[in-house]
Amino acid sequence: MGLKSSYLSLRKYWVAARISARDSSSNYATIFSNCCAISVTLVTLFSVYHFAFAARSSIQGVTLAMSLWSIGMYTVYWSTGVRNIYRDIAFDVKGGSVEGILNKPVDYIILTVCKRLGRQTWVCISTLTISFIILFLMAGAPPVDFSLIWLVEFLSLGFFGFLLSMFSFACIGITSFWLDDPEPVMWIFDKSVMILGGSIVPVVFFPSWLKILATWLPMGAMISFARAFTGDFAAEFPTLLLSQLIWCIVMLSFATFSWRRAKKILSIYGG
Amino acid sequence: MGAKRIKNKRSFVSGLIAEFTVARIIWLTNFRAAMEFRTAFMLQIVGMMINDCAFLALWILFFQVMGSVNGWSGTQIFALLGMNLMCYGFTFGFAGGSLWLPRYVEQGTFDGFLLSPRNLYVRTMTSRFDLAGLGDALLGVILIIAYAVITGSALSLVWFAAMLPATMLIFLSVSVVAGTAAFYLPDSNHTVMAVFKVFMNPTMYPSALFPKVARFIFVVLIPSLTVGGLPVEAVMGHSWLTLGLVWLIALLWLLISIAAFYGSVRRYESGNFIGLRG
Repeated sequence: MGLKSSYLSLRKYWVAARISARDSSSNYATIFSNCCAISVTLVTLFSVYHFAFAARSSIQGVTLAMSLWSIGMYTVYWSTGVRNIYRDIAFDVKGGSVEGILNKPVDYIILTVCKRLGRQTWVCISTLTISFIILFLMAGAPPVDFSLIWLVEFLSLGFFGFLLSMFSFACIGITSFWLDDPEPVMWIFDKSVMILGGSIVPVVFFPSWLKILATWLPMGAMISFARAFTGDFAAEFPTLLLSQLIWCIVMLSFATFSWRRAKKILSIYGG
Repeated sequence: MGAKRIKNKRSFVSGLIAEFTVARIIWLTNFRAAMEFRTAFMLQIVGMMINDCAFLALWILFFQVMGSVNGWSGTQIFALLGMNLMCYGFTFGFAGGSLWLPRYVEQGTFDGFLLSPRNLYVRTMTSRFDLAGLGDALLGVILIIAYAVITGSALSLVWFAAMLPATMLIFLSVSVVAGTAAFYLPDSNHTVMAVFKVFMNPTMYPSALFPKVARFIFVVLIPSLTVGGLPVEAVMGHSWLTLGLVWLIALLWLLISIAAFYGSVRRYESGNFIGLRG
């Protein structure tokens, strides 16, 4: 009975995600234009790195392939669209539609996350396909010694990084209950992710103080799976995972707490 | 015949002045409205400035690691970002309507502009005042001054000033051309933003690092380098030819955007939306 009710309660979120995915699949123009945008960005950035590495085979022990694969992982994070969760929540709060959803027998935050992930499915699949094609063409095969342990470590950092992003951006979205506009908070957080996640310069090139920040701050921890292609990943893995787990707990607690507070200050005007 | 020409010229000039007088009133009204929420106002400007500093930090870090690449170093990045931010900030600060075009068309509020007795192009573009743009523009000015101080060349400020209107025209024109997709595609807001990103992303990259073919594509077909890298090259080499090229491309894109805008407006179907607009 308990299992059946859990299945039924989870099924509605799955259905919501599926409907959103089906709805977004008809928007070919958005899917195509996103592919174009990601292709232009990656080709441009990779060309810059080709130029920088033209006269040397490695810089600080890091090869061109290592750099490009590491930078390419930021695209994986970007493609999931998880950062747009804040915008969905802020939109509902500003527009007042959050009041209507709260009356339904669903958890608003989980529903918003599922709808976003569903909506992002086709954009994610298409941009990731394009990104990996560009990566293989411009960087060659991934510069790693494949093993089951490496794969488990890489996937676990990817999974917890994804959860951490989800909780963090939900927290930013919830701030729209207090702030007129959470956009500036998002800008600062998002750009911190860009720097500490190694979107243009891989973390392995960072000075030691910045590397510490990239390891121990949530903005860097989200994309720590990108470090699987550079440096001594096996030795760094326990620290990276610990940082992610700590921040997952902190962000989830903060999101839960602030969501409870937000529901208390919510004013429903009707209409 | 001569008198008729003079009359037409006068009416064009006075018409232009009238359009910008109306635009000024709209800007002031929007600015005052924004000032009502002082905390959000300050947060937007300061937030955008911090946001932009991230790019500066990233590129400085890049050049610290890689050293000087093809004549470009951290100093040139000051000029590149400064120029980009100034033209983005001033353009969308005062003519943010171009980015709102998809929403106007989707929501049916474009009817209001069609009914306005003012010039449709100018009225639509000046309908939005983007606060965050002011943060961009302010940081852009600071970076350009910093570049002039670092290189010890006050003349570079004159060069940047000579190119700023042209680069602003390019930004505006490209956003208008991208925005016209709203007249052809349903639910086009995300599409238009993605198309605009195709133009926008390469503007942040040093132009000297582009291969020849890519350089041609991003100067003429998608004029990304014309708003960032090319002006910096013109300032570095005091090249009148590059200055002329930037202006030529700007005027060409302005004509394309006007033609695309008026051509696309013909496809607009009113949504019979009734509402109030400030």
